[in-house]
Amino acid sequence: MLRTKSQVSLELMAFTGIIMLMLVMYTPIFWQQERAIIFEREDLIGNAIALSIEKEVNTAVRFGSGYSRNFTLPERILSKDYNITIYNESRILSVDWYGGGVNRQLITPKIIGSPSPGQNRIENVNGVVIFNG
Amino acid sequence: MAKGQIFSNDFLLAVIIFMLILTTIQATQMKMFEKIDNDREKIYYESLLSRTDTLILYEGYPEFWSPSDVEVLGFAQEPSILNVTKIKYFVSMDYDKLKELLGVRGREFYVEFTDSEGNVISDGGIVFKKGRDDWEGAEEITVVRRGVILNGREAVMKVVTWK
Repeated sequence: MLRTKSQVSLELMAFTGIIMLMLVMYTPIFWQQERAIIFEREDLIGNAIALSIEKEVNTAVRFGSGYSRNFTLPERILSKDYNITIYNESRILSVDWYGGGVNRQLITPKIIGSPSPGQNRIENVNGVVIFNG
Repeated sequence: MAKGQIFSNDFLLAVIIFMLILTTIQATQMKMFEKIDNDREKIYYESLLSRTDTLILYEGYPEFWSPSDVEVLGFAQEPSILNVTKIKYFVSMDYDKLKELLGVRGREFYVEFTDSEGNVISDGGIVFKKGRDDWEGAEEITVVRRGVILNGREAVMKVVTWK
């Protein structure tokens, strides 16, 4: 009786051990994949934000003087704050967040101001694109 | 006491639930990766649309660029009215350099300008097309068409990227 009991206990420990081993093996894999998913999603959202600003600028240039429009950008990239910078001379739009960033080329250097997370306004005044003027 | 007690219903249920949780996590993550791939394709397409906007709305940089000093491609002399000389320059340029300037990484590209009857436009013996059109068997093709004015006539700029 006693011998059978301990045998069961050993088998139980062996099975539990296998399951624990699987858990230990899979946890880093899942964790790594989760990190990769977050990184990819941040990059996608950052790209989408940069692209939407680029499109706003393209549209403002195409419409010409007198154009104005309100648009909204996400407040955060997943859980991270982000900054938008426009470098007029090089016509570069930069969207940066902790751990990543994207650049896009703009079609005009004639830009005053820059958009920010949340509500924004874009205008074309005599060929100059003005953000939140 | 039976030996098989270890395979009690409770234990089996616990193992099944454990395996289900692992499988669900794995399946969810795979789905997320698929969604990310799809979203990336959408962003790429929109990006290509925007890039073609740049080509037809913008004169490029420097304004009067040539193949040796171009930093940003643009064909416009006015929005949607294209400069024939710049298209000739474009056609004469190195394919790999153009890939870089167009921002087409990891893909091939093909650009052509056609008239209202669909014929590829040529001027002074230079055919207005550039790139690789051997996309048969390509895993993925993205096409963007834009109406433009070329030599005072309506034309279509077609941009194809593929991998």
